[in-house]
Amino acid sequence: MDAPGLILGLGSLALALTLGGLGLALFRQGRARRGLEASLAVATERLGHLEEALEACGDRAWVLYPDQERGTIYFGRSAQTRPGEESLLLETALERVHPEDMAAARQILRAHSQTPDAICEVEYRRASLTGDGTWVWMELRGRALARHPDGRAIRMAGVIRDITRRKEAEETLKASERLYRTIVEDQTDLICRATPEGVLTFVNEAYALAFDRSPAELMGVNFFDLVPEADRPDLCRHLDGISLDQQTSAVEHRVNLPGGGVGWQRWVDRGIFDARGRLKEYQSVGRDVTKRKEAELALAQSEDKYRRVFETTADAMILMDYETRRILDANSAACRLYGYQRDELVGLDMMILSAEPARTLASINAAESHVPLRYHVRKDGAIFPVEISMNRSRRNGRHLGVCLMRDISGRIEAERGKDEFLATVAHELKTPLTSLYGSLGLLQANVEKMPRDKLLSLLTIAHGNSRRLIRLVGDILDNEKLQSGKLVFHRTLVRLGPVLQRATEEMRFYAQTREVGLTLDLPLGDVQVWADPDRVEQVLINLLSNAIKHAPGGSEVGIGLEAAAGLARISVRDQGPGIPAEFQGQIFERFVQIGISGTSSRGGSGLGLTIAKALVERMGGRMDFESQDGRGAEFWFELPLAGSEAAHER
Amino acid sequence: MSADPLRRILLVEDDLDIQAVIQLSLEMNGGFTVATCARASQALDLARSFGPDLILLDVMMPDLNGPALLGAMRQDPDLAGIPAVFLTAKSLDEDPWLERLPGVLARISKPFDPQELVPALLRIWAGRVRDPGSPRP
Repeated sequence: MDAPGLILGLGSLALALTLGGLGLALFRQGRARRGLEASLAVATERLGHLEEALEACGDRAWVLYPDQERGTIYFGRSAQTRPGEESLLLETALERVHPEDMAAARQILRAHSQTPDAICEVEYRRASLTGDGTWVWMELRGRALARHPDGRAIRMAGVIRDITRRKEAEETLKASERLYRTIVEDQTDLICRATPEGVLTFVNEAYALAFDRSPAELMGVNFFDLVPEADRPDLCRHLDGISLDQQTSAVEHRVNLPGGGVGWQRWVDRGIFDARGRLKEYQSVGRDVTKRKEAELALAQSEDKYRRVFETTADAMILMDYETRRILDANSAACRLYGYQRDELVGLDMMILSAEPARTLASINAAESHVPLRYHVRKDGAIFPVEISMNRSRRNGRHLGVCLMRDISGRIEAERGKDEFLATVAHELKTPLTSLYGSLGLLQANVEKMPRDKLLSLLTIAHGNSRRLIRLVGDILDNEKLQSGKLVFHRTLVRLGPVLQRATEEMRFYAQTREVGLTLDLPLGDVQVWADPDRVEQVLINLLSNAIKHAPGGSEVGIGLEAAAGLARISVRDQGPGIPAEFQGQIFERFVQIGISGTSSRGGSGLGLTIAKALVERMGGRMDFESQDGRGAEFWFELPLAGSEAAHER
Repeated sequence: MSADPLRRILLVEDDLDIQAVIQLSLEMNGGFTVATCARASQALDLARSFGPDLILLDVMMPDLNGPALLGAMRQDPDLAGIPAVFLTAKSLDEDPWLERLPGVLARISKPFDPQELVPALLRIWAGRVRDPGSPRP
């Protein structure tokens, strides 16, 4: 029964009671009795209907006079009603109310007696009328019907009903909710519910904890705001993928953590759809996967790093399955070294690359980690020496080998060259040492009986060969520094005229002992180059000493300087026997000396021309010679003029 | 074993200083008669005119090396029987075949003690085994 209906019903009841009292008085007076009887009958009938209606609904009517603290509950004629208890005084009724609910019930009734027009509602327990000690839940509704001018209620009326069943159902629901909440709250997993737009309608403690806020603070927050902007489009696409056909879906995305950090969460989102198939909300379970994600990222980064090292290393690297010897991967250097495409190499037996399969197999079986020399074979059949390093590891139950191959052709060639050089150097050193040791040995043993001229001649030999040794050692060191690029040049602007004059004067005494003349022919004006003046002089002295050595007595050695086409050209010409055709191709090679009769302490190191040419080249120039057998030789070198383009390029 | 004394030695050495030192050592310490030349090409003529008991031969020379000169001498009936001793700055393991050439008695490695040269040559001379097929008496 709704409120207006209730009021109408109670109004009629009050009217009926009033009319009843009036009828009896008239009856005593005996006038218009019939009319009144008729009216009474109508009112009684109406009252009966009302009682029936109330009873049908399980409701009872009540009336209360707050001023007098007096009231009545009308029970009607239900089965529960005991004889004489069709109605119950309020005081009696209150005695049965549960002590815990009494205060609340009184207060609400009192408050509503002073509040205009509001309907009061009170729920309370009272002892069961059956007297079995159980409690029955009641709901009392009503309002004030008449008031004093100050607003206090004179009379209140309403209905009362048994709501025990509803209460019990509610209790069951509450208990089940409590259980559900306990389960949800006890989860370490993050649980939330959100509208299709992403607004959070529920989060559990774990969820709130993850964002360092309380569940209440998160209510109404859009979870997209908790996700870094860059990850939102992906998350959107993921949620859009949830449909009636695909109601759950998992996703991993980053989240903004309190304090500015970023974490990773993995979510399983379930879409909840209404009867018409429209998305109502998301129910989601997630967990923090930051640690796992970071480990994965670190692994990916280290794999990436490994791959980059693998790919860019200058040495050939091959990854192979140790048991099957199949190639699993090869870097670009390996492809270049062996002349295969990568996809040709992958899957091949490692043995294909070895020119010594038996030894290679033995190395693999013995798990050798380093093989200093092994011959391998290219796709085109060419065989070359390699140095191999091998590293074994176990991954995913697979026995892997990382082989690193280095082509050592160059090194072996260089070692051979070094050996030959050393043998030659040793031989070159032994020649002056033989003279030195021999002459000094003879002197020591025979100094008393030796004629003076022989004595002097032996001393000269010893002295000359000592000088020869010094020059040889100096040349060997210079040559070594030139070869390894360690020779230091102090380049500056050099006026060539004075350098040529100085070198000529230096060599003049030696030339005189050989009865050879020196003629220096300088052009007018300065010729300047960008070079190391000491090295230029060294080159020049070397060429001069060569020329004087080969020049016949009484002849002239000419020194010339020209400047043309951006180059300074310095030349040294002798009138000696020239360079035999068979020597011309190797004149600048180390330890190549033209055999001339009577070479002795004048003999050079065999390195002079090699060094001179290398010095000139290091200063950006070049050196060559012209000679015809028997008609002298002209050695020349060119250096870029200072200020010329060639000099700038250097 | 031969009773022929060693008297005349032909020295072929292109380094004039070494040549001078050896010559002096042979003359002063051994009393040998020594002829010298610096070029292998001159050595054949000199050997014919000088008639040495022994040739002391440098291995590395600019025009013709020692073994080649020895080969040329073996072609000449007048010179084929003259024994030779090599002088070399190379170590033993570099040219191990040198001593096995026919007519080669020994090798002497440079540098050497000039006072030891004559005793060494005399030992070599005394210990030489005459080739039974040699035309020389």
